[in-house]
Amino acid sequence: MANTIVLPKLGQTMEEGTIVEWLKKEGDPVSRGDILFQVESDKAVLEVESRYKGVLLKILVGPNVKVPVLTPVGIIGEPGESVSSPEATSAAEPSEAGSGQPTPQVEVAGEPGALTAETPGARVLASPRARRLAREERIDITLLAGSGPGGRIIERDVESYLASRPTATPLAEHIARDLGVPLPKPEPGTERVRADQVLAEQPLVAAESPAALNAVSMAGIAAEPTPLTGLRGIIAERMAASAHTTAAVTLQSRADATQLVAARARLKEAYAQELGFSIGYNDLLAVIVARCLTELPYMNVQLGPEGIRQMPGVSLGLAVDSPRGLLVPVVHQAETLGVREFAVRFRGLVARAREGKALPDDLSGGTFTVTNLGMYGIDSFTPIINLPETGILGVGRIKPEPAVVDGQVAVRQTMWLSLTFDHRLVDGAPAARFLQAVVRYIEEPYLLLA
Amino acid sequence: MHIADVEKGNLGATGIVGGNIPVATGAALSMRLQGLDRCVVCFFGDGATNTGNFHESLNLAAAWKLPVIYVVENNLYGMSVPFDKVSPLPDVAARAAAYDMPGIVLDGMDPIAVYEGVSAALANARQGQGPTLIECKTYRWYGHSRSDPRVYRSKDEEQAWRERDPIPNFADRLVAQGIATRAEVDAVEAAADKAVERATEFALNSPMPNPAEVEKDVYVLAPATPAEIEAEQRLRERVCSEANLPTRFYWEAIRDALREELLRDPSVFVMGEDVGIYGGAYGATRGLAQEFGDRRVFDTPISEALIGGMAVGAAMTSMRPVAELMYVDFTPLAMDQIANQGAKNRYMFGGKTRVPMVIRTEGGAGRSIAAHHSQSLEALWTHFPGIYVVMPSTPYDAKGLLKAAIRDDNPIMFIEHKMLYGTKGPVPDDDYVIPLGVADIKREGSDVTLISYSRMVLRCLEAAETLAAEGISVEVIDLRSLKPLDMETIVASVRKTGRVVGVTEAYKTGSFISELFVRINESAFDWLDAPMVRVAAADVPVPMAETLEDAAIPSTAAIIAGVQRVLHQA
Repeated sequence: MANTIVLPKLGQTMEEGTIVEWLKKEGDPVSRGDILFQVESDKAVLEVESRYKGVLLKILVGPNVKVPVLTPVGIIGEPGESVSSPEATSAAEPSEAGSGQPTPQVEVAGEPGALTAETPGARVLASPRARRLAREERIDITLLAGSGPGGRIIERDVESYLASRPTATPLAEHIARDLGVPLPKPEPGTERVRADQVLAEQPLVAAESPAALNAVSMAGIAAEPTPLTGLRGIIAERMAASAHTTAAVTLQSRADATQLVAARARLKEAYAQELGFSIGYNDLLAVIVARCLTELPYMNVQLGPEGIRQMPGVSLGLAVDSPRGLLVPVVHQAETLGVREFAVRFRGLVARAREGKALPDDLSGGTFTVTNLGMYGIDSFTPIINLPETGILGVGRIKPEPAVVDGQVAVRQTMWLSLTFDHRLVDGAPAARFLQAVVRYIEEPYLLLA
Repeated sequence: MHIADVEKGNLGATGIVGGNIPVATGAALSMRLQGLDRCVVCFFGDGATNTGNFHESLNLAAAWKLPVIYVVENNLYGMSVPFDKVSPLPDVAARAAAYDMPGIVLDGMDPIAVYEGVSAALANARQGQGPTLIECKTYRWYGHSRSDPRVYRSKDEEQAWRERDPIPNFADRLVAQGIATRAEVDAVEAAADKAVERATEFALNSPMPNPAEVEKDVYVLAPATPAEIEAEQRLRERVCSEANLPTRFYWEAIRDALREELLRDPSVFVMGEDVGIYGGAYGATRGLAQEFGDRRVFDTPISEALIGGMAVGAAMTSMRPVAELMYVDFTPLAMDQIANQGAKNRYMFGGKTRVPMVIRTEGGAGRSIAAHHSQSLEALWTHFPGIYVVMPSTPYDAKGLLKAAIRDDNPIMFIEHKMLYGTKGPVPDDDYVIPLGVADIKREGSDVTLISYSRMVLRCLEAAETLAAEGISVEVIDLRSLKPLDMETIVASVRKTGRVVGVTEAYKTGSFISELFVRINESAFDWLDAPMVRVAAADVPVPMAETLEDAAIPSTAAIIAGVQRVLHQA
């Protein structure tokens, strides 16, 4: 039986998208997990995998056409199978209704067939009554299956969902309501949906990171209220989610960065020609943080539905500005990379993102984030944890300050570091030890060689 | 134009001049019925004398010797068309001969001649000798309107009539005969100028109407009180549950309502085609002429426009007419009088009048009497602001609603159904009224709301009964009155069931169900679980052949199909 492929909704606020390229042609065999096409949303280009096995029978939406999410874009089925999904046929053929019986005593309000004649999948077919109930009960109607004519979602579909709806903890209910998202099904073996599960089910797309908060310029805010949609809406959701659930504590420490400055100057000089760019402080800091996470892996954990999960490698997110908006490329297995390798890998990600060709992994799956506001003259701040990560390091500016060295006052390059961590998962002392370790590597970067 | 002073006896100048002649005739009828020594003077131009209203009115006024003087100001042109181009007779007055009434031509430029002619006519009218048609030959200085270039007449002609201007000529005559001095004449003129000046000033200094009051004075608002609604609800429950109530035919219920109101209020009278000794085409006035005499219950000529206009004129002069138009198919003949005059007068006269009249008529198919005697034209009437439309389905409703309609101060189109006159149902002997604008849930249900009125309610109930056997619970709402409309009951039901089928015997296109569906859309969209379904008559003139008539009009099976469709439609 043919399966219809729809344009996925890749974020809470994504309403439409454009297929950049089909990586399969009509007639190509498709396996589960094969990349079908790349789709560009308002934030990034992501690859969409097939959930079905078979043959790509038909491409319904070609490249460079902007369509609403959930629009059928292709059909996968058995080789030789005729394309006869209801969506496909109703789009191709005019509605047969309305042909005008001589005595049409019984008529639907509106022309008969009007509903099915609409662009298939352009919107969810649901009765106003079903929509109202779903709205009141905070159910995402797009998740429901319609049992009405033509697959229309009617009241009884919402009611049956409600009857089987999982119960949730008060906090989970609260968060779901605040985020305006539906409650997920409880994990197998559990009776109630927990708050962390609500959060874990929210897709994390690159610009949804807390650092993106900084990307929205106050200059753009006019007297008129701006709807909380798009990037702003995502940020609001993510911030609220983090603030609602984490037990965030921020530790601050001043590091003597004199040696780091010297090291960076030397690295820059040594590799500028070879690399074609200058190694920056962020590259050094990334390597330091990755090293610390390897040494103190309790900071490299995530809270999942089943409990605290030790993440196997360091996937380090590092915020950068770009013409497309703020991006947080994630360098996976950062703990295995030296400064040069990290710098090259990272700049590659940034370039791909700037061209709109980022792959999903480029912008997601981080286990720890570094955010640097030093270039704006910020000394210290309290970053917000990028869920489901456990910690985030805020980096302040480097500036010469009087400091006591060996009993003498001397001018040193100093730098404030702010570590925000989730006290639910990590206690204060271990977190402090982590920050201490970071400070130590900043003060004595040659220790990285050990 | 559009000016009136009803309190002082000026029933208004209308934009559709001929349309007011029946209204004046009705006012004269009203004077007669009230036994008042008053006479109606009705002014119009030569143009209006070529409308049917003129002839219908003169005919009846002469036949009944009504106290009315019809004054034609013949200024030679109906707007731009010369009278001699559109009339074989040079004098309008000559037409009076056809109605065996005096027709007098006067010099309209001579006040003394007009005074004497009208005085004689007035004396005649007061002595019960009937109406007079007075034609005043005169002229119109200016155009028909400000935009009239007067290309249809010559400057010489205008000048010749100018020289006959009665104002300076009459003044000269008074001075020449020593009746008045020049100074006195000048003083009169100055006083007239002053009066106009003061009136202008008053108008200019008066505030413009408040836009927030745009809907004020369309109706005499007397909404039913919760207590009245509840009392009727209790009575309805009694009617449904009490076994020993007397039963009445629908026609009897109508007749009883008329009878009780005739007894209760001397200003009520019944008129129409064959309502007298014949007892009405469908028997609804049987025995009333015998009981109340021909001053309370009387036949009219087959002049629908006149019947409608007379009802308006009588209603504006303290009477409560119940006028019967035999078929709703005929009501468009009286549309100008009922919809343009009766329904609008209150609003156009700034709320300074009331038009408490009931037009009783009947509609609907079922007798194979074809498209001139079988239609359902209620939507024509619901369209106009200022008039209510009531359509009962049971004897109980018919009686209570008709009594309420007669007591109401608005014009009401009361549409019965020819196939219901012979139906029977319980009717309490109480002196009860059913508040207008309160729908009746004829059957409670939870799956689908069937909304209808008049005869189709019975078919809806049959359909509901059949569907109940299939486990489908149908709620049947009888609107009872389309205007005012009981949205509260409708919305409550839609909120309950989420599915609506509207049933009407009217042509599908533009039927009242279409309006109803828009209202539901406006008030209860979020409660709909399926597109609303209408079951209406085919868009063909109601056919005569039984098989075709049955095919054109919604059957119980069609209603059942409609319900199935709203439940399972693809």
